Amino acid sequence: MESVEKILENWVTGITLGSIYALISIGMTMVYGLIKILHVAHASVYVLGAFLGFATYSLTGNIWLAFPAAMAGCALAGYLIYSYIYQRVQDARADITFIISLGLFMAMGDAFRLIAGPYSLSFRHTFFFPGIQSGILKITPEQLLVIGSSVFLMGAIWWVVNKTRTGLAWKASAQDREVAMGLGLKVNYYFGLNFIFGSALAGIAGVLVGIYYVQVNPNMGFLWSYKVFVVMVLGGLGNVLGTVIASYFLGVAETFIISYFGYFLPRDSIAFILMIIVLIFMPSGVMGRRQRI
Amino acid sequence: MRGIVISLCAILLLVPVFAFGADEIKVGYHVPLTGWAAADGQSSLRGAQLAVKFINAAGGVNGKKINLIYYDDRCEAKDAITVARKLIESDKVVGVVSGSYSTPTRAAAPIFNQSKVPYISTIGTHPEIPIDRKYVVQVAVMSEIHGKAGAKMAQEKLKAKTACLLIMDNDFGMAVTDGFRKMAPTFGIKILKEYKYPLGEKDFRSLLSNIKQDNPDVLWASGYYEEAAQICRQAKELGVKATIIGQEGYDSPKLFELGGDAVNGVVITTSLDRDSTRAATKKFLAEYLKDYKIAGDQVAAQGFDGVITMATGLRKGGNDPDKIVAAITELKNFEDAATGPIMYFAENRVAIRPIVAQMVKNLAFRSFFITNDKALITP
Repeated sequence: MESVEKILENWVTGITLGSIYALISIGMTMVYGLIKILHVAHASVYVLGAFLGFATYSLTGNIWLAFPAAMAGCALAGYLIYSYIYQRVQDARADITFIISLGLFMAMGDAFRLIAGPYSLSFRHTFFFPGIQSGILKITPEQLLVIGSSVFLMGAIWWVVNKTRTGLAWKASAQDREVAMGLGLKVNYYFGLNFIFGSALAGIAGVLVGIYYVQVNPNMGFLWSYKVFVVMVLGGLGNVLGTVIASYFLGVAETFIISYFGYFLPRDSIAFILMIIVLIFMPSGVMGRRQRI
Repeated sequence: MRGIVISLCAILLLVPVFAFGADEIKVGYHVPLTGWAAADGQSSLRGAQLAVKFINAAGGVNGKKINLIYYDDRCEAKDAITVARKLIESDKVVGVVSGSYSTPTRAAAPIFNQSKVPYISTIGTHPEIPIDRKYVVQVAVMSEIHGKAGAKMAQEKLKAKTACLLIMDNDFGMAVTDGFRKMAPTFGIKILKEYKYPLGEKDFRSLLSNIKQDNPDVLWASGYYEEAAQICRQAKELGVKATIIGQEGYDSPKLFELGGDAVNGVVITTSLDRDSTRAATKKFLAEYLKDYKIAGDQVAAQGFDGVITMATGLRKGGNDPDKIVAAITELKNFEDAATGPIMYFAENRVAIRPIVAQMVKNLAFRSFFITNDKALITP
């Protein structure tokens, strides 16, 4: 009985972590799948979301306003990053766009530090909805919020990708940009839209992480500047469904490994080791397409 | 022509030497003002500046005002080395106080020692810092002693029979825990299980789920206030019943801000007793609050003590480094220190002082326990 409780707790912890990983990684996967840019600065957009949410909540005292504010701010930031920076270099070699993105990530990180100071800020909040507490299953309101909103948002993304013209245009541009342009598709418009969606998701992820860990700080994006690669590679670069599966797999696996074996390695090393193992046996990720010959 | 230029340069180089007037004494200070330890660094510097204010208001040292020259070491060894050279070579300070953790202090200590500049460590608790360095003085309490005192407190005040250890995997986390682990059997506390975590971890839920199953009376959790706030929150969330015992790493007003209600009931071992009736502590706490509009913490008080101790040494020792160090280590029951009296200096110039425990009540540290048991507080 006792250990059932522990297993349940670990599942809840792992799924919550997985939801956070998924929300952050989806935006970057979408960008890579479509434009083939390794958008490291996505991690900074996520931090921007956390700070915008925190600032909105501190000013208005309403936690629900934090979400639209972060979404709007990050969507705008994502659009600006695409149209003023990436759009001009999207035909350049991958290493060039990568270095530009890295520079942007560092500049944004330092800007947050200069504006908000180097300290962690407390994101205290109260919810008016309760968590779940039935017998040995216990889910806090924060966990419920994280899991619930992730599932909802992922459903929304799935709908946009599969059921709308925008999704169709994304798929068409990803398959063959020249042909899509030749058929009169405004490719750059749809690319911009892609950045807007992905960045808004990162913004929400920022607010959710801020709420879940009750703090925001300018360094919170650092981990994500590299860990997101693990999730992307595990999921098969550019594959959105694969990324979601990889995120949950990683969240749950990390939690159980730490619970039963302790930190024989730091959490992120566990992620990278999993990535290496997957790369050895499945070189194109758990959901990756088989290599074309 | 060239001769004139050279002599002009020479004169310009000499100017600072002449400018360093006879009416001030330069004391160096290095402290992390940016980087991950910046919050503690700011506290430490404020404490030191408050000490300078007190000293100068009371007439300075032998009629000369103290001029505190401080630099940011980012809590990095390499920056501490650069800063040390700068303080010695260009600022020509007579003594230096470190307001930084063990890593930078360990890096800077040999440099000051070689140059015969008296050097006081205030929060760098690593045991190696003063060993075999006759110009290095340790005012901080060794981490291990906190662990030993914590074990006694757990038995005496919390009636603990069982404990789990949650260990931060760095110098500080390991050293404080070593003390607790060593003394626990002496005080009849059984250690059920040990869990290690890496510095910077944010999610402790998987370990805390295990600890909940172990169901110990107390949870000895080493960490700094960021980790501490998460540990307390997540433990409360999961329903861990054990009383959490922390150490001086928890000692910051940031703990309350980040931890909220979850930190009420937590006990920490530290050096600064908020409810102390000692004049020096009361004056420090009152003036600190007045000047900075925030409650003084242990790190600030240690920075204060470092400068006050250095000034006492300078008063008797003048410009002679040997005499300065001798004047400091001869101190007995030195009551000017804000964190409690320095009872005496033991071998290797290590200050011996009582250890206190504070319990968090209504988001404030309150007096809970004090020990000056020699077996526990001497290294």
